[in-house]
Amino acid sequence: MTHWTEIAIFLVSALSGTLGAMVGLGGGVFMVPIFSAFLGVPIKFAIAASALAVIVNSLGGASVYLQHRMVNLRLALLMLVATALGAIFGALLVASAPVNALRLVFSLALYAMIVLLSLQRATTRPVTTGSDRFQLATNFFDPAVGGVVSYIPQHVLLGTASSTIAGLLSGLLGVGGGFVQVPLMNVLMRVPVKAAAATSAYMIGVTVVGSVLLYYANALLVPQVAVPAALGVFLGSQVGSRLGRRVHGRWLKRVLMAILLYLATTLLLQALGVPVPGTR
Amino acid sequence: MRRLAATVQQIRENSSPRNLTTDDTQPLSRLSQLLARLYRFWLALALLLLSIGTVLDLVDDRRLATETVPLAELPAALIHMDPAAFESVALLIVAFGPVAGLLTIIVSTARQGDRRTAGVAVLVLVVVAVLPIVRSLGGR
Repeated sequence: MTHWTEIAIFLVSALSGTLGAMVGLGGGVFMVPIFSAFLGVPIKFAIAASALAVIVNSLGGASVYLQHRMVNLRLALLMLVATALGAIFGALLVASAPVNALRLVFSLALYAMIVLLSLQRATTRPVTTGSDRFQLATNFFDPAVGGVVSYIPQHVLLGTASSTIAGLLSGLLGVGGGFVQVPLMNVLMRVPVKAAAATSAYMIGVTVVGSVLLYYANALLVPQVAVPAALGVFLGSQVGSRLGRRVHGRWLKRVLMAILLYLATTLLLQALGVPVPGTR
Repeated sequence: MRRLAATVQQIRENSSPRNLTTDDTQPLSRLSQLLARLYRFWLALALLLLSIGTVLDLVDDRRLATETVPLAELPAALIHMDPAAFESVALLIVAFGPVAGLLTIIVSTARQGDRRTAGVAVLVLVVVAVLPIVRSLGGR
């Protein structure tokens, strides 16, 4: 591997980190295909480096969001129980179930989410009154609207149970699962998209911890790939989390929809047996 | 004119994140600040070690290490200033960042008497710890 490859890994990671932190993703869904298909990195090393970069992105992005109190910690912890359980099932499914059938189901689910997001108005009005059985109501300052946004998450049990899907996808694909969490929180639970992205940024790091430790134990975490990826994503997450606070929710939602479309199509092609560069 | 100036001043004060609510005194708000500081410190430490490792690597053979150092050999490798050891420790520190965050939440909320949040955080920690074991059994 040349120095240019290491620099390219750094740059790709920085861009992925910026975009990922803006919309609450780890950026792994971009890094793995690009590293392996275009930079010649073995797929397992790319996945391991990507999983580590997801944690870096989460730590970097969440530190900014936590500072501005945009992360709903109680909601994140509640959903993490289901997400982590889903990740275990996902890891088990990889070994036992036909993966292509699962990919088909998930790609259809992602397309359904895109439709839901496109039907939902960008300025989804959060619910500010009513019961709050789980004490999840909170508020944050949104510089884009120049004021405080308050909300009470809705359909908490259904949303928490549904976040198991994010965990399943994380276990299957080695990603953080933010691309499921953000629309889930935004559309179903009526959490403002910025708070959803911030909460997801915190959650994805916790979701992939187990995988990264295993990758290290199995010598798949190669410094030559992981170090430039970690540094690049750190830089990107700092830029992305700051940009994310200033960009209007409408634009964040469009970016998220584009990412979901990319993922859904990738999964669908894989399920149909069409080779997609860089995917497992 | 004076009223306009007062209104502008009030808007400025209201739009400052520091003054947005009175929840500075709320436990979860303080916990968020604490976690933000912990994450920044954690990343700074990891980046420092990564930088040391990278510089040592570049001085040594101008290439980054191609594999991490096994846990059992880490202390000896660190004493011998092995660049790969510094990079390995840095990567492990990154990996344990979210775990440190969970432990902070557990300790902080338990001290504040918020048993429900502490309990959920413990549950998350247990599930996260189970994941690598299950994956190991699954042959991954």
